[in-house]
Amino acid sequence: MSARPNTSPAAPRRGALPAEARVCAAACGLGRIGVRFAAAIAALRGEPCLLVASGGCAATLAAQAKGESHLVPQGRPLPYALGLALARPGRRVLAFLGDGEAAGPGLGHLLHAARRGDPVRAIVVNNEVLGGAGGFPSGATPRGRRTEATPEGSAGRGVDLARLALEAGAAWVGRETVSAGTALDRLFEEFLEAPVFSLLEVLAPCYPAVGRWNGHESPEAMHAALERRAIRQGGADARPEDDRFPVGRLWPADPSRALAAREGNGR
Amino acid sequence: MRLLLGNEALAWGAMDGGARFYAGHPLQASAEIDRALLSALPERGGTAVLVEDEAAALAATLGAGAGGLLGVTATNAAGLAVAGPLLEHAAAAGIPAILAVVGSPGEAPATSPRPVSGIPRVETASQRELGPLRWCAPGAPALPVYAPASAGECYTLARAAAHEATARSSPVVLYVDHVIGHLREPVEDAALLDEAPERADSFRVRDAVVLVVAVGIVARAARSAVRLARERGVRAGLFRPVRLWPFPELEFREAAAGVERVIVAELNEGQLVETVASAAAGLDPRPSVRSLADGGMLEPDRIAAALEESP
Repeated sequence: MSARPNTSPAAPRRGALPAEARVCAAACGLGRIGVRFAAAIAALRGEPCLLVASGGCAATLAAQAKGESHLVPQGRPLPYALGLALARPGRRVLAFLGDGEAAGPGLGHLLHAARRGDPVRAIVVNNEVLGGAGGFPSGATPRGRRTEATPEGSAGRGVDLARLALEAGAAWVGRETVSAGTALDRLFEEFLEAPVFSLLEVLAPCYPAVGRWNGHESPEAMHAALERRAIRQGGADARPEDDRFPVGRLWPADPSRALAAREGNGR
Repeated sequence: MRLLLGNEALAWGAMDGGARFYAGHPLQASAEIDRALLSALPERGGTAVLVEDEAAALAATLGAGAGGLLGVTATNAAGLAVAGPLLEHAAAAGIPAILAVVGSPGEAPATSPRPVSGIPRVETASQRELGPLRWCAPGAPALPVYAPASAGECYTLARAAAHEATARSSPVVLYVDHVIGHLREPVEDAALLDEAPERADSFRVRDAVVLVVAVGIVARAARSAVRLARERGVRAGLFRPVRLWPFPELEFREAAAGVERVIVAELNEGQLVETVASAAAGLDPRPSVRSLADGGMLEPDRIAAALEESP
């Protein structure tokens, strides 16, 4: 066993879960996101969406979707999606990213896509950890959060992806927790019709890689803790230092401005 | 007839071959390709977009190719270094694309005691990309890589590359060294040139006893060197792989049949010589193969001196 001190009393033994649990662990939010999003996408009128993703947990959504999915090298879904969208105008192009990718090798691409107003919709499934790789901190892991590989706590500050996209000029930005139920459904429907470039961040924590290392006794307890971090009204200026985050549509504040932004960004 | 830089001719050839999309991250070596495509593609109903880095440029080009628009992007050695996973993906997924790699300018070799500073001279070249291009899609069979040696050939090979990329649903690479990319030369309006390009170009090989193998600007110096050597009574010839990879072994064996010596002249530390040696190993009589490698430039006199050496 590891000689590293186990600082989390609730943490089970290392390796207690079988390897396949790392792909889609117990209580992983990806399944819920997949089912709900698939329903919303299927209800869309017009031509079917095109999905783009790379590796990692979030890509399993695109890989298992029916229809046209493009699985591309790590970090590159957004620029690939740009080329695809320009070649197929009129089709919605959805890029599925994880926080490992979006706050790592794809971070530059994300900021530039927002800056240019690429005709692409980005979904970031943020589990605040490199789950598939075995529980290492990602660029979005909050400071001090323990992961399977860093039980002493992640050293750096986690980037706020939704806020970065907003500051870089995205036409629409939203964020929700995976446990938010119909609020998430409504936000996703709005996201599908919103002007582009748009980004929807869904916080979907990972129990084996993070939850059990941070004192949560069960996946349900972990999700309840996540809900307590969500600021549902009037807290749009909350910063990551507080370990809390505003949810809902973050930009534009006034939905009628979304239409104006769409005209400005239309390609 | 137009006077074009090699880089410009490449851009026009790609467009005339059917490229309708460009994504690029402009770099000094390849900026003329970017400029030509940015200004001309929209007029032809195409789409051109500037992106943040070399990987994004190639990724967007592949996205467009997957969406049905043949794309082209241009990069340099640094872009080639990050292209591997994307080219591998494109080869596996069958995505057509044109990747133009413009070689680095010449620099003093890494072992030089003097530091190199200032803007590199256009008339120098390095061919340090020759070897890496062989494995530019590491997990896939060698992608077709063409190495033009004039502005006219930049045009015809780019045009042919566009046709080949579409026909084979595969990325096709054009490798232009720094001098060829920046030589301004007459280019025929080649509406009539629809035949597939030769895979190799042989010059005075029929009675040759010594053969020089070279690509790009070095092949042009070598052609002069062959003439110089012939004037001095040495029966020399030139073999130039137009399709650099996969190396045209059959054409090489045909050109090298009966020669005693093969000299591989290249602007690097000797990246092509092993491939040539392995192709020559099947010949009877088997010629000796040696490398004439330099990090700066190989002038005709120097190549001629190597051709005239006694075995």
